[in-house]
Parts: sequence; C-alpha cells; structure tokens
Amino acid sequence: MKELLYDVAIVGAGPAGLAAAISAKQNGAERVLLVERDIRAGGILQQCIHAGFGLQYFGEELTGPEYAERFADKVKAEGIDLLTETTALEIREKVLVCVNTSGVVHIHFGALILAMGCRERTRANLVIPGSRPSGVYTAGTAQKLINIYGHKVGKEVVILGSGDIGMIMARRLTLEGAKVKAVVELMPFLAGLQRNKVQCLDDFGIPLLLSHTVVNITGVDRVESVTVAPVDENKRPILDKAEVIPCDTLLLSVGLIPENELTLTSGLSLSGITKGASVNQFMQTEVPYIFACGNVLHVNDLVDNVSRESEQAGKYAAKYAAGALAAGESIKVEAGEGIRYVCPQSIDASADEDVNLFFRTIVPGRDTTLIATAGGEVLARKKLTATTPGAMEKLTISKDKLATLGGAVTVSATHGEVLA
Amino acid sequence: MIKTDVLIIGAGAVGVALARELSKYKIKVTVCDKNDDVGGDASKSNSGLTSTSATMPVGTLECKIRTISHSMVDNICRDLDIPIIHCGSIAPVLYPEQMENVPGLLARAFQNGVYDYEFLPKEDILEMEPTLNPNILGGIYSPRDSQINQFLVVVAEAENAAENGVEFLLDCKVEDICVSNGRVEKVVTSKGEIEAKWVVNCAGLHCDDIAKMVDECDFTVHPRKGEFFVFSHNTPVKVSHIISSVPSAKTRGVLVIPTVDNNMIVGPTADDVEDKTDRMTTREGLESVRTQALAMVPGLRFEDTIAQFVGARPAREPEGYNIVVSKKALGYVGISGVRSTGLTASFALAKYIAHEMQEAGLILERKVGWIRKRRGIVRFADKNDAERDALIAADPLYGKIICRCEQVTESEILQAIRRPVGAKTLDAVKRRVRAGMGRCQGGFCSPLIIEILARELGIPEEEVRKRGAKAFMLADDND
Amino acid sequence: MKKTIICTVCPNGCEVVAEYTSKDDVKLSGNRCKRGIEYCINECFDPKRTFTSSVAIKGAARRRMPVRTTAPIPKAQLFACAETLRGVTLEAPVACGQVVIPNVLGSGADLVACMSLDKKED
Repeated sequence: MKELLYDVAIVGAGPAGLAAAISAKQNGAERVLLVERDIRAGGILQQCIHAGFGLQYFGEELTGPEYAERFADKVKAEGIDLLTETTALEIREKVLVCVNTSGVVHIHFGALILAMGCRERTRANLVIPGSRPSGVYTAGTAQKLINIYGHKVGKEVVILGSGDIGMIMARRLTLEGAKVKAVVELMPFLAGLQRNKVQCLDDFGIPLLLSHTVVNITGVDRVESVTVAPVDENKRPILDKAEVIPCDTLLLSVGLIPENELTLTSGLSLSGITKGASVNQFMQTEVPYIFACGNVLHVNDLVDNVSRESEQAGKYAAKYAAGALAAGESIKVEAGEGIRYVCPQSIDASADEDVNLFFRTIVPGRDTTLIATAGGEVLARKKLTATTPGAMEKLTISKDKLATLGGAVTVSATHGEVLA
Repeated sequence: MIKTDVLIIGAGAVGVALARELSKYKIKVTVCDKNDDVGGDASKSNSGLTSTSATMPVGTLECKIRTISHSMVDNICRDLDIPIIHCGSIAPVLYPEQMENVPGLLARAFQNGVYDYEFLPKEDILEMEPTLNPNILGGIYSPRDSQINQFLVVVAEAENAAENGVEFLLDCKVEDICVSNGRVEKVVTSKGEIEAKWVVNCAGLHCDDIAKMVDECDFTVHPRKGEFFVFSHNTPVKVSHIISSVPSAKTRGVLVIPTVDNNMIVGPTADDVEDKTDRMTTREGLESVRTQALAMVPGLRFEDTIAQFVGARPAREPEGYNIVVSKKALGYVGISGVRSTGLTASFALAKYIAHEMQEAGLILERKVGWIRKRRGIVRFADKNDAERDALIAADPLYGKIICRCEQVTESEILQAIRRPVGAKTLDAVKRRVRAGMGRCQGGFCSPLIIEILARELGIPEEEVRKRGAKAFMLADDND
Repeated sequence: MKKTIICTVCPNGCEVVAEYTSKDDVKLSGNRCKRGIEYCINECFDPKRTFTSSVAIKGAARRRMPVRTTAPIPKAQLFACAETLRGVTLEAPVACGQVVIPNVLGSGADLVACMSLDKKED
C-alpha cells in the first residue's frame, strides 16, 4: 500500500475540484492533492464544447474546455499535485482509499473535499415502459460519444427532457447531420435556460412539446420508435392522444443526481431533496473534516457558481486542516414557501463573513420577491422581474446580522404572477 | 462442413448443462444458438431463484427432476464457482382467503418430500423478516430456497464445457434439419451446414419451431412474459429472505428477491403473449408488480429502481416436461415444456436426457481427465486492500476501474472477453462481470467498453453491439 | 416587416415584437427592460451565433479537438461551417487558442482550438 500525506485532498478534478484546490493552496494549505479518474483534469467540461461558460466568473464567454483549462493551468502553476487515472473507492475515517494501476493508495488528509460532480438520471429511474434496444442514451453519454470519441449516435432522434444538455445535444446532432424530431418535456415549462431554447431548438426549427412524455419504446435490436403522449395536470399521460414517432435514437435529458456513493462510505447522510450532503456556509459537512462543493452537493445551473462555491470549500478546508476553523453555533436554513431547497442548509453564526444562500424556486414566475427571514426579522430581500426553477437564485446575509439571528433562517419566494 | 456427434440447439440453461454433461464422454459435442451469447432467453432473464419442489404438481416428471436437481445445486455452485445465497423464502399470508390455501400447500409439500416447508405464526415471521407488512396473519417458511447468479450459471457451465472440448457456435440460427432414410443427417444454419449424428432440441421458447422441422411437434409454445424491477444497492429497505406471494391455483405471484449481488429483484408478472420477440415492459405490468410487492413489503422504495426487464418463459401447451426420442427421425431428441423451473432443474435434466440418449443408442464412454472445476473471474470489488494490491501487482489492469458503479476493472472485462465462450457484446460483458449493471446503467462505462470490445475483437467501434444481430451502439457512417 | 423574438439577454425571456422598415427604424414592443434592445435589432437583420464543434486530432491522448469561432458568425453559415470541418485532421501538439482555420468561410472569425493537447508519449 502506498501511503500519502496531504493537508487537503480533493476527489475530482472537474470545475469544483480545480477551483477548490487553487483556493485551498492560496489560503495556506501547503500540500494539496487532486484525485482524478480521467487521464486529465477538466471533468465534464471537456465534453461541454459549446460556449456560454464564464460570463460571470471571467466576464467573457468561453467553451467548457477553455474554462477548465484556465483553472487547470493555475493548478499546475500553484504546484498542486494531480493524481490522474486514479479512482477513489472509500473514505475510511481520515484516509481516502484510492486505486490505480500501481496499486491501492491511502491518502491521509487534514481535510477532504468532495467534488465528484453528478450523474444522469436514466430511463430506468423514470420507469419508461417498452423494449430495451440499443439507441437509448442519456444526453451526457451521447455528448461524450460525439465530442470526445468522435462517434455518431443516431440518425433520427427524439429527446426527452428540456434540460440544457438535451437542448445543446439537439443542436449538436442537427449540425452533425441527424434529424431531431422533437424535444419532449413533462412539465408545462422549459427545464433549461431560455437562451438554449432559442439557439438550440428555435434556430433549427426543432419542435418543443411541453406537457408531454414518452410512454413507450419499441425495437427489438435498435430503437424503432417512441410513443409520445400529452400529460394531464397530474402528469398522467393521456394515452388515447399518444403519437408514435419513428426514430432510431432516444436521448434522455431528465435530470442529474449528485454522485455520492463515495460520500456514503464516510457515514454521511444525504438530503432527500438535493441528494447531496448538508453543509454550512463553509461548505463543511456534518463530518467536520469533510467538505463538499459543486454538483456533488447540489446540481448547479452555471459553472461560474460552482467555481465560487468551491473556492469557499477550498478556503475553509485549508483553515480546518490548519486547525483554524472553530465551530460556532449552528443555525438551520430552511426552504420556505415557493422554494425547493436552500444551500447551505445551516449557518455557522460565528463567521466573520457575509453568507450567500443559493436556492431554486419551484415554479417560474414574474415580479418575484425573494426573502430570507429569521424570527420575524428580514435578513435579506430581493425583487426580480422574472425567476425560473432552471436558474439558481442568491440572497446574501450581511455578516453583522449573524451574531443575533433569532432562530432558523427561512427563504421564501412570492411571485407577482405565476407562469405555467 | 462442421461434423459433430451431438449438436445441441439452444445455449440456455438446459442446452449448456447437457453440453457439460456430455463433455465427460468421448464424443464431439457442439452447441449452436441464434443469440450472440450463451444464456438463451428465459435462462438469462429471470430472478435466479432455485427452490425446492414444495409447490410442484405431485408425481410429475418436472417435480421428480427438479427435486433431484435442487439437491445438486450446491455442488455445482462449488465446482463452477457460482455465487449462491441460502436465504430461504417466506410467503407471508396477507388475507384470510390466503390462509385457506395454507393446509393444502403444506400437504402438497409433504407429498413432494419437502418436509421443512412450514407455517409459522406472525410474530416469528416478523422477527425473521421485519420488513414485512406488520398486518400479516403468519407465513410459510421454506428454508432451502436460494438465489444464484442466473447469468453465471450458464456462463460457468459453458466455459467449463468448452474447456472440456465442446464447441460453441453463436450468432448461429438453425434454419432446417435434414432427415434422410429416417435419420437426422445435417442441420442447416445461418453459419452453414452441420453434419450431426444426434440433434438435441433445447431451444426453449423456440423448441416448437425446431420440432416442426422434423415433424415432431404435437404441442405449442408461447411466451409467458414476466416483468421485473431491479433495485440499487443503496435502497434503504432490503429483504433478507425471498418474499413470495402465497401460491394460488393460478399463479405463483410476485416475489421480492435478495440477490447474490445485493440488488433486489422484484417481479414477475405472468402474461401470456403471442409474439416471441416481445420483451416490452408495460405500464400496467410494472404497476401490478409494484402494488403486489408493496402489499407484502410496504417499505420498498421503487424510486431506487435501476432497471426493469422482461423475461419470457416458454409456456407449453399441453403443460409438462416432455422428452421425445424420435422414432421418425432417429437421432433427434426434443426437449419441451421446461419453463421457469428450468434453471433449478437443468442439472438433473441434463443427466436424464443423456441417459435417454444412451438408452437410444448413444455410446457414452467416459474420458480420462475431464475437468470438473472452473474458477470464476476474481472480482476486485469483493477484495480487501492487500488482496487488491496483490491482484494489481500480477495484472496492473486490476487497478483500472472501468465501471465505477460496480467497481469493475479493465482486467475483469478483458477476462470476460478472452475466456472460452467469451463476451462479444456489451450485454455479454455486463452479464459476466457486472460492468454497466449499476446505478448509472452504463452511462459512464459504455463508451470505454465499446473501445475495449472493438480492440479485443478486432472490429471497428461502430460494429460493437449492445446485443443481438443489429443492436449496434453507434451510428457512424461506414466511410 | 414584423418579427417576434424571444429575448435571451436576461432571465425575463420577453417575447419582443419588432416592427421595422430599415435598421434605423425599428419599433420594439413587449420588452420588459432595455438590456436586450441591441440583441433584438441584430436578430432582425443579422442574427449571429458562436459556432462550436470538434475536429479529429492525431497523436494526442484524445481523438477530438474542440473548436470554436473567435466571434459570432452569421446563423446561415452554421451548417456550412460544420461541413468544412469534416475533412480536417489536426496533428498534436495543439495549444488552446491555436488557429485551426483562419477567417472561416470568409466570416471574419477564425476557428480556434479550445484545448491544449500534447503529443502522446508511447
């Protein structure tokens, strides 16, 4: 067994891990290690070859690989160790057990940052009936096959789910010569960003069927058709209005699930809503030496937010590893009316820093008031002309309010007008 | 032209068990199958249950063979390194009407020699299996029911048979059997003609189609579809016994089955259909499985399902195991009526068929040095740190994880491909080493396995298949 | 002329109706803020998009090199641009930002590499 010793060890060299590593190093951690199972750093951004990244973080529009490369270059320049082609298997107390072709590696750490990202929901998670032919792909797997491996996945395609990856794949497939016959969305509104609908669907005349779902898949060997039906207000398909669409490929863009199997080996439990660990504003989990950031914690809309959040994790993991992060009083943060979840789930009231609360609304609306309260006192308030569940919203609680918080903090949203 | 002494049509549980049995003797044995892999249809898509004959129809050939075969299972598993869990089964009694069936079931079990099939009071059952519905009225406990890895049973027997000289012809569909002068002469297949002295029809769901080729078909076979759910390892409520519905005259009902791989399987339905290629799960079928399973185990979390699949059991009319040694076409042996009990029954059935063939003139002279044992592919996931280090020292690819969900390494995948009767498709790899069997259902590892398969098989990546004739994974232009 | 545009500049996603006779005479209605005015006018006369794709690369640890245009190109050129790339194969090493096709299709924008891929050591 190889035994290694680090102040801060990070699992995953995607956008979250890279930003966390740089921040840990810059905040005093001397020995920082990134563990990555791929052959190079960058994570999922390597296959996200479309533009639209970095507008907030860098103030310019980059592709995924370019965004990743800026961070990866910095990691190199900072002298941070990167252990590629290595899989993390288990968290055993304060040892991260990994494996690569040289053998089992035990990484002893002062603090550990979980940055494993997420995986895609599958056909089986949705329980779509029908046969099990080849040609059913999650959008991200198709994206990898096309953008990393240079393959084609199909010629006539139906996409279920209007998430951003699904829409981006609709454009990519169209430009590569496939025919995208429809994008089908269960909800009465778009799951992803409006910008992607315009640039990926409308630009190419790809129909978007809202309040529809796929109710059957046929084909013995390869997909031969899918059956699409409208749904009623309870999301139950109206089968007598179903329509068969001949196609050879079904792509699924039906949501992401934080990839937390490693997390569970540490004994941490997961939130039923985010499917990630619960953290305070330091991105510190309920096991004090374990931090988490990025999509392993909660699925983000923009990588820019992931980078910011991960820098927070890196900074405080470095402090923890140096013995400089004492625990103060923990105040719960709850999702109130109109809010699906809030991250962080608690606030350490001893902090000397403003606290950012990130959250998603449940339904899209206009003239939305976002408000954070505690014990009747308004801590933060914001009015937006429009909100959508596809976008992450933020409220900031000023640091001078932390010491006097009168009980749990609740975030709520009220819409002037509810859309859809 | 291939010449063989015995040609077995169908590489499912029965065909492969027979091949292994016959490989003990000084004859040439060949197995052909229309599929790309061994495992047949019904033999690979089921719940891996191997149970006693408690509820079998009394006095039938099926009951007799299955009883003997069940007693052979443990030795087979030991010899062939097949995982098995001896979890026992419980049939919870949910309603007073079900209670009325219990005395009859106990009496039948006794007649079938299953003396340890017992009714236990509610309190004892709930202590054994706390996940059960607390309102049950009691339950029938059957301690010798077990679960085996149904894929590995057939794969292991096939590997062992191949090692003992059996030839396997896959992707090889039988089109006709030629009979001349009252004897089978040759078999016409999609891969050419095969001259055979004996032809054994172990084609399961398709055994009627084969039987018609020699005019020995006085029965019909149709698929009885069963729909199943597979659960993730990480679901909070898991059963520790096989939970089965109290059998009624009509059906065995839904079961909740713990597996050797720690994934529960829940199902099946039993729907008679006509189309032999129908493997469609249905909204109604899956919903009925869900409802029945929740009535027994209310805590099951169906949102943790990672797959749903269909098994098609061959339903013969008239029912019952049937072994025909043909008088019209000497050398033809037809096996039909082997239904879901076939996995358990196959070991003794193979012996029985071999005996029938010997009686009909097949000379079985024992070879010297028949290899009894087969070792399975060593699983990285099952090992501790020191054992893993040793594996990696011997083969560094044991340190390269390809399937992250099930922690399957490249070494295991290469072994699955390179072994005798090796995997040629993604599904065949999955069945052997579980790569792609986990929560992401191959989303992460399938591009990597496509690459490995193409490299190992010496084919372009776009020719790599999920399974079957035209189930290609990719749609690259062939230019 | 009349055209309906979904504005993508901010999360409002307004359905903006543009009525115009020329570039200098555009009347917009339905917009809830002013941030998207320039975008909407461009959508009427000269819609442009950043083009991204990937091309084959040899001698690297990866098979594909992601590429993009350095500036948005006319929407009508997207398919032609994709077609242009089909025959292109790069040779490693290639640095991020390296020009793959200068002034692609005369659009004024260069097509550049988006990743640094070293020569693979065997």
